[in-house]
Amino acid sequence: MNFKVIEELVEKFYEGSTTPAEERQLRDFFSREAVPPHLSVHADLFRYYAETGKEELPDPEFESSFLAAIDEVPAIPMYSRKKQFFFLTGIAAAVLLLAGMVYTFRNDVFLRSSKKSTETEIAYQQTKNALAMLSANFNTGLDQAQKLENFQRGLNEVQKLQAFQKGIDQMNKFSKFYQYQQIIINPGDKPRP
Amino acid sequence: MDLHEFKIQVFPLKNKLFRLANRLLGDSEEAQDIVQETFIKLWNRREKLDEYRSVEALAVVTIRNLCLDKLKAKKYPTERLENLKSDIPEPGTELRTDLSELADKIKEIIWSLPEQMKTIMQLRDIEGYDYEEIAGILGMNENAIRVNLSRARKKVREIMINRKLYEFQSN
Repeated sequence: MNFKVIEELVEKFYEGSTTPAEERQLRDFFSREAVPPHLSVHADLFRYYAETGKEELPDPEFESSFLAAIDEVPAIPMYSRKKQFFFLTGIAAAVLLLAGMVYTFRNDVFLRSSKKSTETEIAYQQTKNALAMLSANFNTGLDQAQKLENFQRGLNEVQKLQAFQKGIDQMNKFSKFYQYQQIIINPGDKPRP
Repeated sequence: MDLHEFKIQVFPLKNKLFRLANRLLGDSEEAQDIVQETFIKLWNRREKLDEYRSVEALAVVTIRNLCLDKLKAKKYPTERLENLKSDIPEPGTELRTDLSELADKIKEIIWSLPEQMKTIMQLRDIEGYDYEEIAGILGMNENAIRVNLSRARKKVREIMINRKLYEFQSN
């Protein structure tokens, strides 16, 4: 092959402008033994490429160990793993929340039963007294209320009396009518007071 | 995708994936574990694999990400170019090297490149992917791939020539 062509291809190669086909051409050329010294650097590089390209994964059991590995890993698709993750996160959150509540509650009870026990006692007694007082007064209040009820009954009676009063007024009108009748019949008579 | 199809489409990628991982991690045992991990990841997504335009591209993206995670977690002592240049052997100590020795040297030079250059060089110069495929895998545009690849190739050539000079002198 014409070295001129190769030299041009080499220049293009270092500029990154060779096509894969041209690079294959260079590789083929340099894989031959006889290369002029001024091209030997590039020959070395292309021989390195060719050699490295033959490198293989060393483990001959690779495929079978992969198959064993995927047998061990249960065949869970990604989406269900995601679901599982969210489910577990949910449970974890619930447990934490519960734990937090229990802790807070226990703390509260603890404080009441130890530090504030005497205060609580006093408060209890005071509350009890207050309640007793309230209940006693409540009873008298009840009596009063019963009296009020009687008063109400009285009021009702009075209202009935009022109705009676209306009747009396009517009667009074009659009596006035009677007076005027008397005046008409006996004009000489003075009206009675 | 069922197991039968998985075997046809994914199993043949193992050597390619291994080479990339080995190049990025510099440890063939770890590279092998990462290939296994990649296979399992792909298997767990088997229901959706048919939706991808290229299972191979997905596999490469997956293994690269796993490698990057590993590198980040371990903080691998990746040699930088500066360190490597000072490592140039004394004149006269090197005679003509045989191919495997030479391969080790070039491997070392490529190892010193930044990860992105390493990946691009591996995918293009070893595996023969076109720019479009590499751009898709790395999420970059094709021109950026070309520029980075050109830089990587020139850098490797530069270091190689520096070393070669001593060899020529000793001959």
